[in-house]
Order: sequence, then C-alpha cells, then structure tokens
Amino acid sequence: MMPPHAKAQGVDEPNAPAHPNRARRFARPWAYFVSRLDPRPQALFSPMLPIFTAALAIAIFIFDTVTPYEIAAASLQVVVVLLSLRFCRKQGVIFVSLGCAALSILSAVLTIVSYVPTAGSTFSLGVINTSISLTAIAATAYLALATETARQTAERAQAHLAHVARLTTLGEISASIAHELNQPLTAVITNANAATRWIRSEPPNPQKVTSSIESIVEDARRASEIIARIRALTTRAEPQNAWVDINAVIQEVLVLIQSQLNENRIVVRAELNNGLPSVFGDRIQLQQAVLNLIVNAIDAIGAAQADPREIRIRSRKTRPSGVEVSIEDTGGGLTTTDVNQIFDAFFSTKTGGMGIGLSICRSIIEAHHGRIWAEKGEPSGATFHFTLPGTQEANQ
Amino acid sequence: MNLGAPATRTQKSTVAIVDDDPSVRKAISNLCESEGFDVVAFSSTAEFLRWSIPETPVCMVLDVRMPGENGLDFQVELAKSHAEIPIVFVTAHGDIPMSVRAMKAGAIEFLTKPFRDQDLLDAINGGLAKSRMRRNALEMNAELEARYQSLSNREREVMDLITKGQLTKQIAATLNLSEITVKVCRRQIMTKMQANSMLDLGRMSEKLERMRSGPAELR
Ligand SMILES: Nc1ncnc2c1ncn2[C@@H]1O[C@H](COP(=O)(O)OP(=O)(O)OP(=O)(O)O)[C@@H](O)[C@H]1O
Ligand SMILES: [Mg+2]
Repeated sequence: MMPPHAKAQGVDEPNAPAHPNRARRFARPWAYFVSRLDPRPQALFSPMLPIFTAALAIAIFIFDTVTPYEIAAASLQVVVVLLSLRFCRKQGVIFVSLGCAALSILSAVLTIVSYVPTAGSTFSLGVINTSISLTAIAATAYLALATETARQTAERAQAHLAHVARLTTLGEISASIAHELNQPLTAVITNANAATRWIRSEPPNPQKVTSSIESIVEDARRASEIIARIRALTTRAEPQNAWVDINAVIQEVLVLIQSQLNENRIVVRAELNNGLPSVFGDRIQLQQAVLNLIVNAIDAIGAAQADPREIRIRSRKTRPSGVEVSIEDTGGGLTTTDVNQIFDAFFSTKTGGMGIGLSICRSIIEAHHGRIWAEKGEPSGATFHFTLPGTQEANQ
Repeated sequence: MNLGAPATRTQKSTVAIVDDDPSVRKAISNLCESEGFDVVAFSSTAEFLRWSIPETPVCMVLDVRMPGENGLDFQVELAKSHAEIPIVFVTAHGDIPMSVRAMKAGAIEFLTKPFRDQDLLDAINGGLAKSRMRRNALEMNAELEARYQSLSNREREVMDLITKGQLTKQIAATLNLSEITVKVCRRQIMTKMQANSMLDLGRMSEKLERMRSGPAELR
C-alpha cells in the first residue's frame, strides 16, 4: 500500500538545485507527476502509516479467521479504510475497501471450512455478521470517498481562487511590469545608438562597440527574464511544490512591485536573515501571499499620507526549523476592533477593495501549514506576520 | 567691455547621470561617452550631492522617479542651494503635469524613456551651453570684482562720483582734492578697471551695484 512517490520526494529534496522553478520543469519531469499524485506536503505524510495500515488489515484478518464464525471481527476493517484516507486518493480508497471486503469474505470462508458449524443458528448468525461487516466496510468506503471528493473540490477551489487573485494583482501591477520592461528596452536602444556612434567615430573604437553589444545582450536577457516571470504569474498551474528559499521569494516580489513602490515614494527596508531553513511549497503561491501583504501596506501608507513612508520586511528563523516573515508599514494601522475579521473573505474598508487579499494569504499560508496574524504597529501602522515550517538544514 | 572671454570652448564638459537602474545608467553613460563628454554616474541624488562639482560646465541627466525620492523635489532643493546645474529629466512614464512642473522649474528637457539618442544629446548640449554661459558670467563677475578690489579707497570714492556724472572740478571740490590728483586717480581707475570709455566704466559700476544687492549669480 506504500505509494511509490512517498520515498522519491523525501530522498530527492536535500540536493534540490538552486533554481527549483526551472528544475521542476526540466530536470525532473517525473517530479511534476509526483506532485500531482499527492500534493499534500510531506509534513502530513509518514511512510510508516501505509505499512501500519496493511499490518492492521492482516492482523484483523487473522483474528477474524481464528475466532469462531459468529464473532464478526471483520467489521474492524472500517478502521483500515479510514486510515487509508490519510495517504490515498480516490482510487486508492476504493482499492483498499475492496481489499478489506475480500479479506472479510475470505476469512468467513476459511472459518466455515475449518470450523464445521455445530448448530444452524450459529451459522446463520455468522452469515448475518459477515453481511453487517461488508455493509459497514461499504458504508465507510462511501463516506471516505465523499470526504475525499470534498477535499479535492476544496483544494481545486483554493487553487482557482489563488489564480483569480494572481490575475487581479496582475492588473494592479501591470504598470509595474510596463516600467520593468521599459528599463531594459531603453538600455538596449541607447546602447545600440552608442554602438553606432562608436563605429562612426574617427577613428572607430571597436572595444567600445564590443562592450556596447555585450550590454545589449545583457539588457535583452533581463527583459526576457521579466517576461518569464510574468508568464509564471499568469499561467494557471496546479500547485507545484518544491523547496523554496523564502528570502528569494520576497526579493522576487520586490522586483515586481518596485515601480509601484517608487511611484508611491515608499522605501522598503528588507532585513532578511541569511541561513534560513528552506520551506516546502508552491513558490508562486508564496509570492502571491507576500505580494498581497505588500500591496496592502502600500494602500495603507497611501491612504494615511504617512510620514515616513516605509515598509519593513524581516525574515528570521524560528525554533526548531521554521521561518517567520513580518511586514511592517507606517500606514494608518488597523481600524477594526476585531483583528481577525480582516482575514475574512470580502471584508474590506477600501472603496475599490474586494477584500480577498488577506483571505487568499491565509488560505495559502495555512495550506503550507503555517500561521498568519496581524498586530498593531509601533508607534503607528500595522504589522503582518506569517510562519512556515521548514527543513532542518539551512539554505546554501 | 574687454573682459577676456574664458577659454571654455575647449574645456571638457561633464555629464552627471543619476538613475537608480544600473543598466539604464550604464547605457546613458555609454552614449554620452561616445559623444566625447566626461561622464559621472550616480545611483541616487544623495550620492550625487556628495560629489564635488567641477569647475567645468556640467549638465545633469536625472531620472524623475527613484526609490525614496522624487526628481522634481530634488530639482527644487538643488535650485535653493544655488548650485545651478541644468537638468535634463528622463522618465519611464511621462505625465504632462509632471513635465510642466519640471519645465517651469527650469528643466532643460523632459524626455520619456525610451528616448531618441539625438533628443537626449541635443538636450544635454543645450544644458551644457547654459552651464557654460552661467560659468562665464560668474567668472566675469568675479573678474570685475577683483578689479574693483584693486582700487584704493580714494580711487573708489572718485569712481563713485564719476559714475554719478560729476565732472573733475566738482569731484575735486567734493573730496577736497586738487584737480590734478583727481585726474591722476581717474587715469588709474580706467587702467585698473580696464575700461575703454566712460560709458564702459558706467556699465561696470552698474553691474557691481547689482552684484552687491544680491547673491553672486548670473544677472
Ligand atoms: N497593512 C494594513 N494596514 C491597515 N489595514 C489593513 C492592512 N492590510 C489590510 N488591512 C485591512 O484589512 C482589510 C482587508 O484586506 P484585504 O487585503 O483582504 O482586502 P482589500 O485590500 O480591502 O481588497 P483586495 O481584495 O483588493 O486586496 C482592508 O480593507 C483593510 O481595512
Ligand atoms: Mg488587499
């Protein structure tokens, strides 16, 4: 009953390459399928569980077989079905249930063959008990499947919500993106003009021509990297889990949001600790969460006409091996009396606000087994914290 | 007046580039170097302010929007500190109100990225010409002031009265001097001030008057 991917994920990760994004697509294509099979992060998953479950099923089978026929120990197999829910998807649960039913019938047959029934009444009692066991297994299997379906639907809805949010935020930061692309393109055009001048100058300066062309290549590459980032934000994908450096995530978001920060004349102070543990999760979802928090901070500073206009982003290690990120702004602070209310979907105090930013943040952080909360800032503003579990080893 | 024009034509001109984006900064530097300018580049206006501005003509190419500061505010600040450096603005998204504000505050040009190289170079040359003129004027003022300082107290008194239109006789009476002394003084003044004529001396005096009544700037 041990799923084939259980080990693969655990063994592979410590030497995960520096660019999990790229590696995920090209270096380990099978890893993609693995993450589709079981998107539940590893923390939930103990490789001992399937072994234990199988052992339990066999133990129940033996117990059921050696005890007299009228003792229907087979109904205990419902425990096996319920346990399988912890590590199997739909097909797996069906398979386990059928296995349990088969074991119950086999045990009934074996019991009948070895113990010649003494009285007709006991035999019929046994048949009734076997049927009850089978019915119990079937009912449990049905409930288990319903639960699994509901969970999958919820998961898909969450992924969809994150996608919607990605697109919404994309609209918000399109100005940012235009600016981001405009910079390297300006550099390309200017360097190309300069190269022409260096060729035409008397005498021509081939060294300067070469260095101009090198700059052009560099700038063009930067432009294409920006496009790749935008594509990553817009394409809809199932969550793709990998080991992620949370500091890199924060820095990527800062690049995306830079021109919006400039426009609002906001200074970001990033105090990112080195040597943080890696966190296991979906890079883009985590970017999304950080982005939403920064966008909110920008909104808050803008609305309050705050001075100074600062966002402080800190990351640090938590015990035993997690990370905590805090985003502190100098805006007007939280106005609601109930601090948790802001995380509710469609709660917003802004005229143009949808009120989904923080609820998406929370669903993303909780899907990564982390926690998110808000605090009043000192002396003003608001501070948002989130924690995520990580690995034992530090990055790099 | 024969204030010898300083030989600024042959002097090197400096372009100071302030842009937080390293690739744009490098590209504009490259373009300016290809035109033969001396180039200095800074990633922030704060960094620029630490630079000791050379005696040569200087033009600044400034990105309007950078983290933590605003090019337009900087323009005002720079103007207040009397370090009058012509500014060519470049911006990623040129909105009209912003460019109007910049031009009103004396910007040479307001260019939207990506700009045509010739537009930028023309603007820079315009800025440098302005800087050169300002420099020359300042140098001329300084020269005039030096000549005036070389006069003795008596000569200054005489010059004052000459430019008020008094004749030698009147001056001699006012200052209780002999006419000969006044005439000698007069010749001395013309030589020291390097004035060709009475009219020339009058103009110089007017200019000195104006320099006294305000900070030493181009008038
Ligand atoms: N940094 C902050 N400072 C002050 N208030 C905040 C901050 N972040 C969130 N809030 C409050 O929480 C509310 C909910 O935030 P949330 O991000 O969920 O929605 P929103 O920003 O209003 O809209 P959107 O769906 O566009 O994100 C905000 O309307 C605001 O009142
Ligand atoms: Mg929001």
